[in-house]
Amino acid sequence: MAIHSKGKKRGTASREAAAAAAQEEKAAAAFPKSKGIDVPSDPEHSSDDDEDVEEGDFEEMLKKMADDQGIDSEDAEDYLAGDSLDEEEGDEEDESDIHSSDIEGASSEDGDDGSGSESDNESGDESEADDSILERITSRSSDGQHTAVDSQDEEASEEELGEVSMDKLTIRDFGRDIQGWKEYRKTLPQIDAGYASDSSTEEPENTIGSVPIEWYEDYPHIGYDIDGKRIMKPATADELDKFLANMDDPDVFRTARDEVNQQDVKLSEEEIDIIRRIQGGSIPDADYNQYEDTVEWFTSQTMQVPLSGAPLAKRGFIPSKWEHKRVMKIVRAIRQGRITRPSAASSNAKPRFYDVWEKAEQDDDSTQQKRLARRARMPAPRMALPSHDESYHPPVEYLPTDAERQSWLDEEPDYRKKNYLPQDFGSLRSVPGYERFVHERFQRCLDLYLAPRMLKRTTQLNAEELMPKLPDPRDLRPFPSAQALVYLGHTGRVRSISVDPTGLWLLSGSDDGTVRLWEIVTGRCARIWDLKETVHMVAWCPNPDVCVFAAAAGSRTVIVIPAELCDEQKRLLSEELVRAGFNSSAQNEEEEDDDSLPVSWDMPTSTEQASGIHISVTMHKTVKSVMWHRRGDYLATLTAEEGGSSVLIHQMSKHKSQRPFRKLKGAVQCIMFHPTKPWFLVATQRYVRIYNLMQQALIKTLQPGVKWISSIDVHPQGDNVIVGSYDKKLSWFDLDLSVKPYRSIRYHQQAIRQVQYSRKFPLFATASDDGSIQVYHGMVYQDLNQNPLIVPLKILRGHEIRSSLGVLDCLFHPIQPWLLSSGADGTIRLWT
Amino acid sequence: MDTSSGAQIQIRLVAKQLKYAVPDAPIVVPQQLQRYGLSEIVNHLLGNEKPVPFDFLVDGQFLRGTIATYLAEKSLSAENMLTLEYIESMLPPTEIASYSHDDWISSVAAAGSDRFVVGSYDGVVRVWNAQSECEDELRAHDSAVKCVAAVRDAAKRSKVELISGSQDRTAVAWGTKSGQRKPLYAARGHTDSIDSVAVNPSNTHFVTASADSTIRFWTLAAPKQSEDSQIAESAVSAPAAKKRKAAHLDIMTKAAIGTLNGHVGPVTSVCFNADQESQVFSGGWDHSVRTWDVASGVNVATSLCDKVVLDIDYSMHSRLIATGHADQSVRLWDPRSEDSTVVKLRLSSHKGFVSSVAWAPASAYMLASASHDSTIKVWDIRSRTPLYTVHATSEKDKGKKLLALDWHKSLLLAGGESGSLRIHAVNSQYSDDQDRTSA
Repeated sequence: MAIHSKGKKRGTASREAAAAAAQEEKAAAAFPKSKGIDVPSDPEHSSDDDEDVEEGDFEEMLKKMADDQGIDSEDAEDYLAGDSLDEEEGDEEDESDIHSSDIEGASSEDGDDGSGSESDNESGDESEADDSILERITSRSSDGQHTAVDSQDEEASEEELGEVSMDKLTIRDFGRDIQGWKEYRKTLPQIDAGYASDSSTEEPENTIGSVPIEWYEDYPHIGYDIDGKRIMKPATADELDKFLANMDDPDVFRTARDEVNQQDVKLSEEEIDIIRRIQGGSIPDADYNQYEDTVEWFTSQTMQVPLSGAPLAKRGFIPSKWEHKRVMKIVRAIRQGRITRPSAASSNAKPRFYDVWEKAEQDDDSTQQKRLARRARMPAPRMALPSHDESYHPPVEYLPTDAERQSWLDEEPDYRKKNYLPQDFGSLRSVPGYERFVHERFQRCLDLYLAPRMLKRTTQLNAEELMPKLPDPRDLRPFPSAQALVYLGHTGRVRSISVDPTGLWLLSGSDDGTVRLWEIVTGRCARIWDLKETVHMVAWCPNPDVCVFAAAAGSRTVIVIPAELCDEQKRLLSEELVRAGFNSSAQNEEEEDDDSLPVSWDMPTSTEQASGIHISVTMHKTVKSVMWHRRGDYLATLTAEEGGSSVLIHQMSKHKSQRPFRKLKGAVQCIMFHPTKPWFLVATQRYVRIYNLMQQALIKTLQPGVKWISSIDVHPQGDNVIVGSYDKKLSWFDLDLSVKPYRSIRYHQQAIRQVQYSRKFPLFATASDDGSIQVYHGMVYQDLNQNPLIVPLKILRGHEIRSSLGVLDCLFHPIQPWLLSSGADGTIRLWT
Repeated sequence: MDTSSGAQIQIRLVAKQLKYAVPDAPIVVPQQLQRYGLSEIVNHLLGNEKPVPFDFLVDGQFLRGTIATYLAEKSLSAENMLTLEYIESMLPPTEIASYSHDDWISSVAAAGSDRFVVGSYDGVVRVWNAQSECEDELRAHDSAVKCVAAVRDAAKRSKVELISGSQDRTAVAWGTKSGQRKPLYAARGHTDSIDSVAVNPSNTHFVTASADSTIRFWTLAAPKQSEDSQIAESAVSAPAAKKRKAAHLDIMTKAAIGTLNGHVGPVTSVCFNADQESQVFSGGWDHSVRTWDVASGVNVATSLCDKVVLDIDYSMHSRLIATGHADQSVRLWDPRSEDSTVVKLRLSSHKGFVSSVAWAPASAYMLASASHDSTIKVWDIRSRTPLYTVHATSEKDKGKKLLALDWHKSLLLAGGESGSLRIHAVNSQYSDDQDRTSA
């Protein structure tokens, strides 16, 4: 670039003078001075400036553009270089024009000659000029290499340039002053080589050039030698001499006359041969083989990777100018704001087609998988592999007997088991073509094409998998799992047991007419009360401040204070509770009579009093059940009779009895106070009815769907009830949920006698006539949305079955995860 | 014998009892040897004419089975030398006497090698001598006697010889007055059955544990006058007090000097820390083993397992607490450990509630337990299996629950449902005094 700019500057400088003169003349012609119009004092300067400015602008713009387009600055420079080269060509032409006008007397045909003469003129700073010329030439030649110009003319001019450079070099080598050299040439004598070379011994050559020889016919000379002297025509022999000479000469036929040099030339054999060939119309060169084998430098076949010797076109590796222009156009358009981005609105515009599957793919993996599965290629069923009897040479046992062959032939083709008969061909060579081949292929293709295929999914189910997932019982500890103690002493069935609120003492009531008090941890029988009649039920008063229990013996309910278990304070409280009623009952005697209830509150006999029995409540029928209210003041009894008076509620502090139900449908099986609400549960044979004692209304009727209810228990939190039945079924009710059981369990082989919740642990147990007790985990969650979890934990076996009666009562220890059970075998067992 | 019988191992025999020491040279013995064979070797080395039975300890654990099985169990190489420590083995306890009672025995205590105190469910405390004579029948309780404690070396500090606790919520201290054992005073205050009583080693105080979930702390010395007023104040109304006075007019009442509240269920057992007299350990139905500082009445530490504690005993030699549980096992606790839940060892072999445990008075390793399955088991805590299981010998005792156990010197006393006080002699030669001094 530096070289280029230097040359250019010089060019502009030389241009200035000529242009200025021409401009002045033009101006003078165009604009009369009288008009007085201001002419720019230095017009070409300004114009030149303008040009520079423009060019600079363009360069800047390109750079900017490159920046904008993200093209590297180097690329941008390449662009610039390309542009400037193009421009340079134009400049060069201008330059040559100007030069030609500069040099007076020089022919303006060739700019290069001009430049040569220019160097003549500028001999003052010769070396500098030469240098500059050389530089220019080299730069040009290098330029020429870069600018692969297609046209022939340019190539030609380049060759000329090369000659010029040669001239210049010789000029420089020889030294120098051209003028001096010309003089020197004039003074120099004729060159005579003086040695006997072939060329020097010849006649001086005629150097007339390509002038038709006819022109010299009338002249005595035939041309000029190198020194410009006339070459005189030699004297020609006359025709006779020629003839004689010809006659003498055997080579006359091969002699030709060279008119230019005025001599005879003897043609060689080769030349004659050539002439002969030309006359014969064949190729003059004898060695030339016109039927040579073709060498396919460029094959007619298309090669995969074409081999081409053609040089790569320039456009292949320089950035395209037109492309650049187009880009610039776009850039300009963008700058001017004619091209804008697509607006947001257009991008949000509704798509032309609604993607039905879009959602499905997004949200549902399983459906997508299904679709993929549907799309999956279904392989064609494999053809059965040929068996032994399809062999061309099967073992003998596979070959059919005549009878088999006959039966095969007699059968309908569609009903044949095989559609071929095993045949023995002996050798593979003798096997004929299979006649049914095409038919069978066609059938198979039909099958594959027309018969719908689907993947058959077989589901394998294990019995274990169908079982509900339950936690491992080992994780649900503690629960009673083994027998720890046996309380021996009763001689009859132990119908009922009860544990005192502290958990230290156990009461049991038996058919042998006794109530026994046991120390739980040792199994020591601490006390026996003989009540003479079958004891159906014993129940500790749940009030921890007093030490009182009730026992139902025959038609009597006795209230007992076991004196040895309670300290002074407790005994006083207990006695106060039990005896307070005697005063009030005396006052209210008349009222009671009015009620005509079948109840009498009595003082027991003195012997009984000494044993701790403080009250005896006598009813008309056998008392089957005694239940305390949780506060320990009320006591409900159930007698073995039909109707409303079977259920009575007694108030301990007032010695008063009430009949809560005037009428009761069905035989009442068991009764119970609700542990948290003022509710009372009455179980008849089929239904459990829940009454609100405060409002005196029926709240719910639970329908366990069993034939004969045996026992009920309410969960200590009060929302769940379990019902056991004589038809082996246990029903769990969620009172908030439904009057139908939440779950029914039938694991016992015999009637369920008793069901019990643990007051402290999430456990419940069922006692059955099959002699076993089943312990369940029955977790009731505080979260109302979560259903109770019921897990069977353990079957406790140990009680003997006497006269088809097994376990009659079971009870959880109030503090420990222990279970107590009593059975028909007269034992009470502790399970820990 | 199979081919492996040929396998041998180099062992080194070490004894801590100096009288049984053998040369400290390694010997090569067959791997198939068991305790008996090794014992024979040691006897041979000692040149004993009358063989002494030895037990062998490897790495602090008793060798049970052959050496080969031990090596296989621990996956040890037979190439290395095995160091076997041997101690004179304990002979099986032999029943030397059985004293019969009419009612269940609830508690036993040895007041000396020739005097045994038995509390019975008929409310009588009986004192037996070694000649199987019932010296005294002490009647002061209204209800079953649940616990007795003998005050050894009684005469020095106080007149009290023994204390009995009963279901009638009183503990009675008995002493000899004019040649006759008489109740000195009745400790009143508990509101429920007293299940355990323990006297401190220096015989100045005692503690009672009751089903009313409290532990009370009393001085042993007899009060100068009845301390009824405090009781009356605390709880009881006048007529009841009168009545009680009428019943036991001659017995003075003693009031507790401290009450330890903390258990949330009945407290079944209590014992003193023999090393630190102000410390008391107790166990109860709330599954806890608690450490109390009686001077301040503070529950110092509580350890929990998930089974009812029926009895507790502390050994001053091993400094461990042994507890008997309702899950048929004996647990050992380290009261000094900070971690409150870690049971150091659980010994389970019994088939019923472990109603009573007792440490050997002179050993850091020996321990006896009595269970409802009518057996006494003697344990060495270096072995997980019991050393001996003492079954009931008499037909009367078979299948009857054992409720009480005491180990005094070489005597093991047990009683229970059958009403017979079973007295067993434990190998008197056996003593690991040597062990203790070295430890």
